[in-house]
Amino acid sequence: MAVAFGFPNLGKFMKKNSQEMKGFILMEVLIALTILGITLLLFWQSYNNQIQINAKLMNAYAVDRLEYDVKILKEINKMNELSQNSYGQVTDLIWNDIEFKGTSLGQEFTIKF
Amino acid sequence: MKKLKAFTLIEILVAMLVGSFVILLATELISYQGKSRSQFDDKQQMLAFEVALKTLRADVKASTKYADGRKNVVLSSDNNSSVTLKLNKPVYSKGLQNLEVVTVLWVFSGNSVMRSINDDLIPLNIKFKPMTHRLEKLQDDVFYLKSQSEDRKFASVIDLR
Repeated sequence: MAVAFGFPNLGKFMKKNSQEMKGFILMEVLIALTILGITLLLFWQSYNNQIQINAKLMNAYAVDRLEYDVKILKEINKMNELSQNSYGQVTDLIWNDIEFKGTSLGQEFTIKF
Repeated sequence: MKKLKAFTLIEILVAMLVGSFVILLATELISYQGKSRSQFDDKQQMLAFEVALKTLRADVKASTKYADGRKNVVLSSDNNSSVTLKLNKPVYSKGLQNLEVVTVLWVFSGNSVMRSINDDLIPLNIKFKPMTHRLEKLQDDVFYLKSQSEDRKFASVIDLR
């Protein structure tokens, strides 16, 4: 066909040229990069989630321990002995004769005496 | 003249840009991974310590009592660095199909917490980063166990009444 248009070597050139161009096209590279990116993102997210789950679990245990300790300390009138920075990420501790309040990971909680 | 096959300037610049971006990303990822790993290990250790304290509380709660009502728990503290508790508690024995009294020993030492039952050969031993443990007496039969690592503190009331 190429001969018919006056280019006798065009067919040969095209064949040779197409043989030389071995590689990925842009779309393939972009898709591969996207898949890689999504995989990394998922891995990173699951890792972060695991850390957050551990932190939440740890704080749940800390609040449970605090509840037990506070009730005993109140019972023996030693609330002033409470080691306030020894209960995980529990903060803003205030108490009176009726209840004990604090914040754990941004959530308020109340312990009734 | 034979035409030389080579990359154009734009191709080289783009390749260098992509290459440096990939290297930067990989470095950041590796560095983050290292930080994240140590943070993860730290959290795991602290969680294990919380579980140990909860188990200790359950052990003390279930311990046998003397005739006067006090709990049969022997506490000792050594040089403000380690604390030992020894107690007896009833457990259900599947083999004997009844209750038996076992001796539970807790040792809070420099970098581990050990719990053994009836002097078993392979006790539960949880390794931690270095910690100090001390026991404060709040009143008769009520103690405050305080543990501290370089960046974290724990406290737990031990009620022997």
